[in-house]
Amino acid sequence: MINPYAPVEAKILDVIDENSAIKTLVLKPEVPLVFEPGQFVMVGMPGVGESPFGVSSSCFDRETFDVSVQIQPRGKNTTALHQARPGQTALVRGPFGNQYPMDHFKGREVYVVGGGVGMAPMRAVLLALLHESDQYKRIVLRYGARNPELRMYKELCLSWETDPRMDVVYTVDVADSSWRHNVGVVTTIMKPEDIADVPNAVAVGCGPPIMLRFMVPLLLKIGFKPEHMYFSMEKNMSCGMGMCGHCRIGTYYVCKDGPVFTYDQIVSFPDAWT
Amino acid sequence: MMVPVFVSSSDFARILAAWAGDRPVYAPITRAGYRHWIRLSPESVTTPELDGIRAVEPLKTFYFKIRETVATYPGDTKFLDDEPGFVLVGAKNCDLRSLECLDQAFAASEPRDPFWVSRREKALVVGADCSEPASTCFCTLLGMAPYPQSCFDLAVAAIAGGLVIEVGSEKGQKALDVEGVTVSPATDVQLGERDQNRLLVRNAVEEQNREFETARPFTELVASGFDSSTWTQYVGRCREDAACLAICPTCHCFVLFDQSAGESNERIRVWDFCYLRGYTRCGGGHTARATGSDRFKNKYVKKFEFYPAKFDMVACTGCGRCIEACLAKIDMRQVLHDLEESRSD
Repeated sequence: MINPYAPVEAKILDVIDENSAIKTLVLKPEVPLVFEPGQFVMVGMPGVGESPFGVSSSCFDRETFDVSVQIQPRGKNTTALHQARPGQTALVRGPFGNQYPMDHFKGREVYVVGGGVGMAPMRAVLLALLHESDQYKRIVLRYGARNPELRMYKELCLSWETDPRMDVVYTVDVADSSWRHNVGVVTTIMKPEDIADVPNAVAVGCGPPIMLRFMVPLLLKIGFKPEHMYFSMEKNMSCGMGMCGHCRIGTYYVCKDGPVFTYDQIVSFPDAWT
Repeated sequence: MMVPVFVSSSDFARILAAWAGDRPVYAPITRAGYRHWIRLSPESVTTPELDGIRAVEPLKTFYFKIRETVATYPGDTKFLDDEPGFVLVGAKNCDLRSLECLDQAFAASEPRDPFWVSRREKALVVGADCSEPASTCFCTLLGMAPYPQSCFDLAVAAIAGGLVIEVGSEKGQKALDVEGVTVSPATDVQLGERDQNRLLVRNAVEEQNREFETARPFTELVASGFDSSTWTQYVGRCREDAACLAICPTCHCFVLFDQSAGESNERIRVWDFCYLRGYTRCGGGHTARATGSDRFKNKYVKKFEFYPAKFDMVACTGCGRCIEACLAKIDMRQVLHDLEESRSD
């Protein structure tokens, strides 16, 4: 019997500085990781522990995968992952959880909203959309960060600005002199005119609870159907397998029934965004 | 279902001695005024106390240990199935039901917990009737009875001269095959005596819980009571020491942590409790259940809303351990009763 608590070793191929708080690790596991956009993995350093991270690379890259790690105050594992160097060995378990129904998105406008480090799983979604961009009607991205320095995937975001397959708008809460995009929270760049065929469009979002709380009424006002609004939820998780109990919201375990939920699945749970 | 059988007290002692000869046998024995699960010595098998109520420790401790190394790495991706099975003699219905509850958590779908699955498969579980309820017993409020109903290999009920034994599985049937032991079909008189005892005990449990009966089922009260004032009434009084959760036979929360052990590393699983403040704290510092009432309510939501919705059963077996363990003397039955009262305000 396979021991689901036992990790698999993964070679760290690269450590990319995203900003002062976030690094992206490129990992090559001993056994290739077959995942879909929206799924997460447990990643850690030997003898330190493990933490859940949404995979942020393309599911079409089978040999390696990326996770973006935000360092946490007093976080033993995130500190160890930030100190890791290419060539070292990390540990992975997974992938866990459900995925975005990419087939259901085909033929539709896909409205992606990312906030802060919540951009990580959104990157996996966007890379999957772009890989088969002719299958989707439109790819829209609205991405907000606290300030220009705290943005992630800066080069990729720059290339998306001029990508004819995409409609992107960026914003920051607080700008500096170099900033040439919008200033304000992410809801200030979400407009009804962004979408041509709202009843058939899908929205995909990930960000801090406060962002989701403000984003949901706006998406509803724009006209998205509750069953077409998808969110990647974050809760404390230890096992990733629906056993340890930590990530329960309402009648779901986020790690197993999620982390991707539609709004109509979670609307009846008052504590979903607390 | 095979017909119930009768085994004399002396023959049952022979059966226990045979079991204890080739695997660990645990049974409830009183030590210092409390009944605990004690390992019977193969040399001098002590008589298990099959009367009364459940032991102090919940049955989960045999299958889901308080602290356990669940992996060593690098190199260990296979589950090493090297433990002998054990025998539990004298498990009461509240504990038997708890195994069914925890099967849902650990073994209902992939990936399954190999420790739980292996121990469940190997263990021989012998249930026993309760003879006299404690004031904290409330299995009948949950539609259960104070005698084994399911999830046993054998179930014993003490009557004059011996035991009526119900066989619940093939494993149980085989376990009765001990040299020199006479196993005969139970007579109507013997079954009548057992059933009379059961009726008396059941009535006693029902009678002592009349004051806690609610018009609507607990599941409905909790599912519709998310914003009830009841939860806040207990804030402050509840010490959040999680004693109720540690002693609960169906609570299964745990946390994993890693530590270096020389050349290799260990991944260790320890019990965790949703009443502790850090339980829902995420990496970014956000805590989902930040208030005392959120945490106090969580136990009830998990047991009476989440479990029924997901697994079609409540995750409470009426064992009453949480009532005994609570430093603040909070009675779960009263909390559920208060929920109904607060609705009719």
